[in-house]
Amino acid sequence: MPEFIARPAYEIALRLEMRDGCAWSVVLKPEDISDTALRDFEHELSLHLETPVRILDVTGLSFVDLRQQLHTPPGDVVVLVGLDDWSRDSWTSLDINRDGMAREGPLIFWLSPSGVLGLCRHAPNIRSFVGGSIFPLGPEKGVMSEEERQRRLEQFAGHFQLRNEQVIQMAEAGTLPPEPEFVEWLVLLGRGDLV
Amino acid sequence: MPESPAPPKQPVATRREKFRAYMKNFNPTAPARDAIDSGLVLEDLHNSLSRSLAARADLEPGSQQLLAGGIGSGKTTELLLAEKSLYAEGNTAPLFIDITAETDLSGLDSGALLAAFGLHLVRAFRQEQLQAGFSGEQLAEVKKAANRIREFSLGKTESRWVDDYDYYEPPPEEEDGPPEPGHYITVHTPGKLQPPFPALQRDIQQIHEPLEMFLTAARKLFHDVVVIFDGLDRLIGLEKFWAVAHQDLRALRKLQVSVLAAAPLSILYGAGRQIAENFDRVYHLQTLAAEPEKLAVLKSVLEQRSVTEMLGSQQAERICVASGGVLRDLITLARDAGEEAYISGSDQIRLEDVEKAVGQLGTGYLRGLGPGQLKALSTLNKTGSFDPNSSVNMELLVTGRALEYSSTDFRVHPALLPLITKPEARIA
Repeated sequence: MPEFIARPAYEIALRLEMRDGCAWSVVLKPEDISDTALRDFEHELSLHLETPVRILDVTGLSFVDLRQQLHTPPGDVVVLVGLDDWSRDSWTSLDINRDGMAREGPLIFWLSPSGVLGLCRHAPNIRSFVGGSIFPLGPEKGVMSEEERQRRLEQFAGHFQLRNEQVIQMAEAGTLPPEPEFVEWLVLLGRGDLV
Repeated sequence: MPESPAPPKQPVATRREKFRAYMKNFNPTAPARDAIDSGLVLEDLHNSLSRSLAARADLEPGSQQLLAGGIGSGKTTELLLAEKSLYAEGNTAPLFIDITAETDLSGLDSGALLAAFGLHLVRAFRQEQLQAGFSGEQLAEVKKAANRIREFSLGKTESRWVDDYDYYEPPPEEEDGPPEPGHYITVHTPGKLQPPFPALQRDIQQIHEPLEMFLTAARKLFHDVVVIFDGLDRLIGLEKFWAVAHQDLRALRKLQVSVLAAAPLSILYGAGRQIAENFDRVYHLQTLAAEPEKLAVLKSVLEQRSVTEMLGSQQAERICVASGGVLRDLITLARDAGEEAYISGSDQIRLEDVEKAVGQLGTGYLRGLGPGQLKALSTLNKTGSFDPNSSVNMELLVTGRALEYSSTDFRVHPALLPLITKPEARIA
């Protein structure tokens, strides 16, 4: 199982620097991460790579527009956001058009646990391009502060009336419902391996 | 944000260059054409399959062949190699069309393949300067035909006069004839390469004539034209595949144009077999053998990319086995193992780097699996029993979690296998 990345932007920058272009990867971030975290990631990645990083929000974009924006310009680093709430049909449609998204520069999907599930379930052609390059942001050492993590865990515990240990036990026993909230809960507990 | 250390500096520059050269040779998402041109592809990996495809297309004008295979099995590469063979023969003009580069495939409908073919034909006509043998009058006709193809493909916008006796509006003074009440409206007729794509048999008949004119011109120089459609394998649902292909391929057969096309794996099973009967030949690009005693072919794929210095024999064998014989996974594992070695500070790829890469690939396959799919994989692993006609199993095959080595030999992808036997894997 992949470990959480302590310095996500730095490690991803190292990998991108080594790859020969057209590199696709996923950053698995907590469900409700702030916009500031995304900006920080962009800034840090840009510093390490010494090149501008472009955030591209796909919300409301047709595929034709998305393709056009991915290729204008084609060689920079693009972080795709806005895919977390996508339906099965949207993922399938993007998957069918995978090659239309192929570009010279790296492409990073910025996805929550539910977004990753959508990709892995409904977009096999994209998943094949991503391969094993799904890098979870570390809740402890990553972009979410310890205080934010604890607050989120308390929210879950209060809402579902369950303790952290119970959630882990249920996941291990295969009885945890597959809802995104439980996936995020596991990720926040550092048990992304149970997802 | 935590402060990050500076990236490695000298004296690791040489090490960096070494790794970069290695990674350049192992790029699983590099365009297949680039990999072929760079000499990274072993051209006879599938028993001269590409040459068989090319030979039949060349010898039987109007023949239609499909190449079905799993994701990452190398279909595009084989089609490109077939194109290369056809060029080498010199008698045929192959037109390679990646249909995903032409249009939004998810909205693709009848007429779109013909539209893309028409545009490529017009382009080839210009490039090959076939015009030389035509008179001025003939060229004017050809130009008209080219315009019709462009309009069919890309759509057109025109002004039309609409009678309107209720709201009289005189036309401009300079126009001839008596003034009639009415006004101009702008009418846009969408092309076949822009969604939506209405399926109209009448449209397909209309394009037949201009296409035939260009084909006649092309055949003055070449014996025949072969069109190669890549990307149709993305249409995993058979209904969609057939809706797109049916009328267009029939029209191409009538025009005596040979067709090679990638097809979804589902065409080999269940209802797909009925659709497959409409084609002269359906090839199955099978997963390559990945048992430890049969690794020669997969190892030769790695050797073709000159890796002996960085990747030891033991590590290479482990990569071959863990890839399950899926070519893209083989390249991905080799790249990711190199990446892990580089990040960890090692000069060579170690077994632990390979294992990390295998774990990551397996986790990618594990994510998103539901209880039904996990159960089917577990049954396959325990009993070897697997019915590819069931929808759950078909999905496992299409997504590469289950692999087919022969009609009676199905297995769980080896990178995924250790993960589904863990109890925690029972959750999606």
